[in-house]
Amino acid sequence: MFNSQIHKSTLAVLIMLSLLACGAGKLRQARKAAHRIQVVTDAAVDTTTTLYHDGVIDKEYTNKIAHILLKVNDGNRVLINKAEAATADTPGVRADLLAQLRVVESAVKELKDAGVLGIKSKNGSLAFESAINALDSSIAIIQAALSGGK
Amino acid sequence: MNPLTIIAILELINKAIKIGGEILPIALRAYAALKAESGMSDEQLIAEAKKLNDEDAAKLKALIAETAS
Repeated sequence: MFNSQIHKSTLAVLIMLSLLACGAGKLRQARKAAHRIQVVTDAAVDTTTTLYHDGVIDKEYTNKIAHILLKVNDGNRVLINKAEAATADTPGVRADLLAQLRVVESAVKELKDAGVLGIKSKNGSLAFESAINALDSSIAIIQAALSGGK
Repeated sequence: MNPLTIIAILELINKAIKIGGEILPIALRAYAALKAESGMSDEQLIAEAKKLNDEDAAKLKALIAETAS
């Protein structure tokens, strides 16, 4: 319980610091976010493949997760293209990026809803959950940055 | 790199250490890629993201084909 409280306090401080750090260069932040989401998606893809080949998750569940990860990947491709094409930080550009982030977020939610029930190993499910949490935090950070002021 | 992402990736590494095998190198590679992020130009960020995106699409399509009933 004590450790959990420390963890929450640390997290709160880090959220505040990260929001302060998001003040400059919204387009740069969006490009970083698209890159970050892709790096974490890459880790989730490789984790899923490894868990399947190690027999930790079965064929049916792997297929389901791979389909959802492909949605995340496709959604992020559009985000990458939009972040690349954006030339000025305008309300219209921000709204467009936020709308695409919602598409990615929705695919990540689907991943969460699919749950970790198909993963028989506790450590395997924890690793997968961590990858989803990393995706979640990357999306939340850029949503906060794009929704905020200059 | 954003502190929240660092926490999430470190958490992944922590779990990966317990599992061992192939998961640990995956988590460490992700950590290294995110750590390098701040030194990259916008063009490099986009190019790297596109390259990974293409690779992941190919990997996922192969995995879907492999696990199709």
